[in-house]
Amino acid sequence: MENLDEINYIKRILEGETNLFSVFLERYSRSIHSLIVRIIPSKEEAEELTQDTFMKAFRKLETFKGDCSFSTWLFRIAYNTAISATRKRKIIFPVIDDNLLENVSDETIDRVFGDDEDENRLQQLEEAINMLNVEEKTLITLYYSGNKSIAEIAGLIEQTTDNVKVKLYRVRKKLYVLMQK
Amino acid sequence: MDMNKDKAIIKALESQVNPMLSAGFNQLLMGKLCAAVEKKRKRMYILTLCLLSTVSAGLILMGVFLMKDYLPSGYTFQIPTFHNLIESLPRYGFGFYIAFLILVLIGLDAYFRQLLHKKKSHKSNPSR
Repeated sequence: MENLDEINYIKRILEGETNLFSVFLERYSRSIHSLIVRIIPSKEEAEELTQDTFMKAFRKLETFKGDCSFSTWLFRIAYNTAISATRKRKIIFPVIDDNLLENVSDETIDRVFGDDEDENRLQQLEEAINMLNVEEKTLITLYYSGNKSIAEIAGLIEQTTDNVKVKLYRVRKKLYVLMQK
Repeated sequence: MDMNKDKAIIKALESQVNPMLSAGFNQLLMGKLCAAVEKKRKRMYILTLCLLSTVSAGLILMGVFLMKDYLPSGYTFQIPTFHNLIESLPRYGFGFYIAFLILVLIGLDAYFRQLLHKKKSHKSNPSR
């Protein structure tokens, strides 16, 4: 229903009612900014990229075909904009040996991440999150904070749902390994 | 994989400092978007004007070229049918014909302007 409503808005914006774009700004500017700020920690740069995202979305509005939800389309633009910005920076992320990840059992992961009372462990987890690469940060942000489904995330980062599932599974293990360091 | 099971990750993500957008961000961005649209509209207007001017100038130049090169030479621009038409019409017939054409064109112009005005007012107040 929301998608139909948004398609109607897009149609009217393309017909010349530019002011209606403020509806999308009100609806998505905060969530888009939250995603970008996780990828680009600088407040000013994140805000600038949020602005770029909406400008690009407005310019490309006529290319939105409605084959996915408008929010997925918008988040895809935000993700690509942020990724392009990080490419210029050349940040080095820690690489974890695959064997190390294999040795972590699912039970341990479920037990560690199922408990949110241990403050010390939460602190370690926050630090571990900061050490993840851009794609991994995006995945956990969208999945855990953005309340996006696996299918939506797959559409957003242009990968298969199975691929997203595997990656999320590996990110959880990687977080655990990084917490131990 | 159940999202609710990973309570620690959700809590860690929530507790990370998440800077807010500066005040008036949306209004500022809307202002920039509207300015960009206006700029684009003006650019299109100037472009159309330039195109029309170029075409008009081209046609005038072509006319001058034809007048200059063909009229003095033996070919001459004779329009026999035009002459015949004028001769065959009653004395002021041709004048009435042109006046009628102008009236039709003015009528059409007024009609389309009204149509455009109606469309615009409907857009600005869709509840009507």
